[in-house]
Amino acid sequence: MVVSTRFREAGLDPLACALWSISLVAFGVIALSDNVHAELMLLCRSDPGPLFAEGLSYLHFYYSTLDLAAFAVGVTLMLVAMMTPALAGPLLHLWFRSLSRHRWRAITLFFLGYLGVWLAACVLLFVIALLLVSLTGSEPVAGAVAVLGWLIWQLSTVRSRCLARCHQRPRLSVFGMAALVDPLCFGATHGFWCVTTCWALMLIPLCLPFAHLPVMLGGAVLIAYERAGANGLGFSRVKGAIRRGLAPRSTTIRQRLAAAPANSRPRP
Amino acid sequence: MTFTRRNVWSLQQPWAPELLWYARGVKVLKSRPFSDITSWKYLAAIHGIEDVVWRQFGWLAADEKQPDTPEYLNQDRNQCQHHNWYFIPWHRGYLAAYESIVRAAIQTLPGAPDDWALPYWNYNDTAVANPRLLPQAFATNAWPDGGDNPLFEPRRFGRGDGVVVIRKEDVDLKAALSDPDFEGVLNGSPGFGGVRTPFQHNADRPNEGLLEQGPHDPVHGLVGGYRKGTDPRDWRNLGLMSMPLTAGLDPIFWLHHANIDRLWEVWLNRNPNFKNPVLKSWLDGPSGKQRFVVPQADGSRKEFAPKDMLDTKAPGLNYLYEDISDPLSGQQRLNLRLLSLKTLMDVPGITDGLEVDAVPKKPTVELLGANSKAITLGSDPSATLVKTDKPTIRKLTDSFKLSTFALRASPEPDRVFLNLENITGDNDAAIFDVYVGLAEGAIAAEHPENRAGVVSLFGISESTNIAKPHGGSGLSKVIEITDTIDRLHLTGEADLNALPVLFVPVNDTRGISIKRVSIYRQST
Repeated sequence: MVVSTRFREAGLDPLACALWSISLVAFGVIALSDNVHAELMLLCRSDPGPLFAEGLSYLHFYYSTLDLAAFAVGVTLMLVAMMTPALAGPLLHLWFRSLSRHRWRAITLFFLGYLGVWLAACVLLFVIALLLVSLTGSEPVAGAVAVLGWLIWQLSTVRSRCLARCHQRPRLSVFGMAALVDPLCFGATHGFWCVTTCWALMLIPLCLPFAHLPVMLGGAVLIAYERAGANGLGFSRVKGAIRRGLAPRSTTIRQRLAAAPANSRPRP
Repeated sequence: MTFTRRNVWSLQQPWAPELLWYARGVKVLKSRPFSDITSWKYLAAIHGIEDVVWRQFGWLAADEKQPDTPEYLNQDRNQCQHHNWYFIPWHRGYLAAYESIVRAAIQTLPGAPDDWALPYWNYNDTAVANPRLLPQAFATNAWPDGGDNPLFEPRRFGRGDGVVVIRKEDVDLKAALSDPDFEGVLNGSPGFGGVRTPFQHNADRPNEGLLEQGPHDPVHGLVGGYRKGTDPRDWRNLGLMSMPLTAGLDPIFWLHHANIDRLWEVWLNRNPNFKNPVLKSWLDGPSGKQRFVVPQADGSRKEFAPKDMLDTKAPGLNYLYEDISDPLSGQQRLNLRLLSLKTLMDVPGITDGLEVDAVPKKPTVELLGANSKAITLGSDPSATLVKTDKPTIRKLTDSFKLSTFALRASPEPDRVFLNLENITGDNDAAIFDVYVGLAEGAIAAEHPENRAGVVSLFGISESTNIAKPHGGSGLSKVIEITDTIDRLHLTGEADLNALPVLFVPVNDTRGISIKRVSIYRQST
């Protein structure tokens, strides 16, 4: 019996298991060889200056001496650990909608686009994390601010729209240059919506270097669960309840109907 | 007591007692407030509801609100399962609950029978001239009790003026009933019951089973239709049956689904090797918070799973069908194909010793090629060209070598499937025919042998709407074109390296976009 069949009969999704295995290996590498990942964490682990100006000067100093290769490896490891389990949908799309001899090529191009966008975003996130720590003068306080920011972002409508776009599956061309460009664009586009959806969550471990591993692991579980589900981990219900509670009672159904576009139902 | 669901065409027309009592039962349900979980509206909202749409159609008054119970908001409403492998068992549980509630309502009336059962609309009946006509009890507003006929629905537009016109090919059962597998495979054979998925209310994946694809979908679109002379891209012009959000409000919906449910029994009864899935993930229903829950006649709510839906005579279902005989007279897909190949390839012994149960469980599905850009359909037929990859198409043509396929678990060449990927649009009533391999300039109607099938886009607006869970990607459809490819390849009639595909509108298809038209082979 094929291994995947055994997994299925045990109620497990073989692809999800494979992706989680890759993620856990990445987590293991981060935990065991912090000489790579510590390069990233140094940014926040060094004694944070209490003043914004000090933070900026430190930032300037850090980036002038930054080992870009180590930075890229560290960020890639972090992304593989946290994001791989959430990529089952796009990977299946690439796999099944590409010629069999082009499947791995398409997946590689997708990752190039995806990681490129995330790497650029991570540079910005590090800056934000450093400034947060510098401004607050304390990692736990910066972490608390990041958690608060994440909660606000998590409940926002804008984020819901970004999350919805993470479920988009574009056309993949089969022949010519388009067959190379489409997976690359898919990776970049998916990366963009992924960044806009998850940036606030990713900021938390960057502000809490002493607890980054458990926070990252929790984040990976949350992202994967939310990406596989339809309603954003029940946050939509929390949001709905809050909205219902805050909604002005004077708005009548007729008024809402009148406000609706003539030929369309509500869309984000 | 086991109740017998009868063919509407075997009942006395127009007002057999079964239909008259059904109308009276519907009238009772319609008189109940929305907050009553056995009311007409509550039962229809379980299938689907959207506030704006129901208000526009007059099913919610200006000052009326949907129930605000947690059970309704978080569990009961918007449950219907489409484009997945729970489509058939979910609708069976839903229908059984509805039937028992209508029966209980009927029994509150004086002189009511105690054995009433929901009739089914057998649009493939051979005993009447046109079984695809809407039964007369549903077609006019007059009925024996006077006043408005509870079975008549003015928002049932059919061809535009309220007359329902369904072609024989729209309800063809060959594809659905002849497939031996309940579970389908992605991009390949969709199977009788669909491809494995989680709980899925809004469709976004190519997981629709053959029974859902037809006759289920075309009947929805052709009965609901859209108002004559209006633009069907505006949802306000659509009929109730055209959209999953409103379909349960039309009394004919239940007779249509009784027939779909009956066809499950017909499929199982055709061949002892046609079996339901035995996987726990199907039998126990979807994992996670969202379960299948339906109201009961006593006002309680009951959870169910597909494993509870396997025997219609079991307690909780208690019914059987008047007729589950095989309309295809025992014809099986593999036998039919091999008989056709026997003629085309001139190999007399090709079907000797054939066993239908030799169908393998793990086929390989592989992309052969696709068209070069997205296509938008219009009022006139639209064409596209599917180019195939030479090394991959060679695998397909090689599979025709007798020495190759005779050794396979299932002794046949590769099967071929046309995929219409990510179809988006706003017109749920859009329907079109698909032709494959037609020479340029050929008139489609003169080449029925090139007709791959009919596509009905029931549910497209929801799956196009990015605000819906997993929405935005549209629908995807998979149509088997094996017979056409066999003929085109073996007779040399067409070049498989570039295969023309033609879309011919049946209902208005303006604005319907198909992101990619592709072809897959399914190897055994």
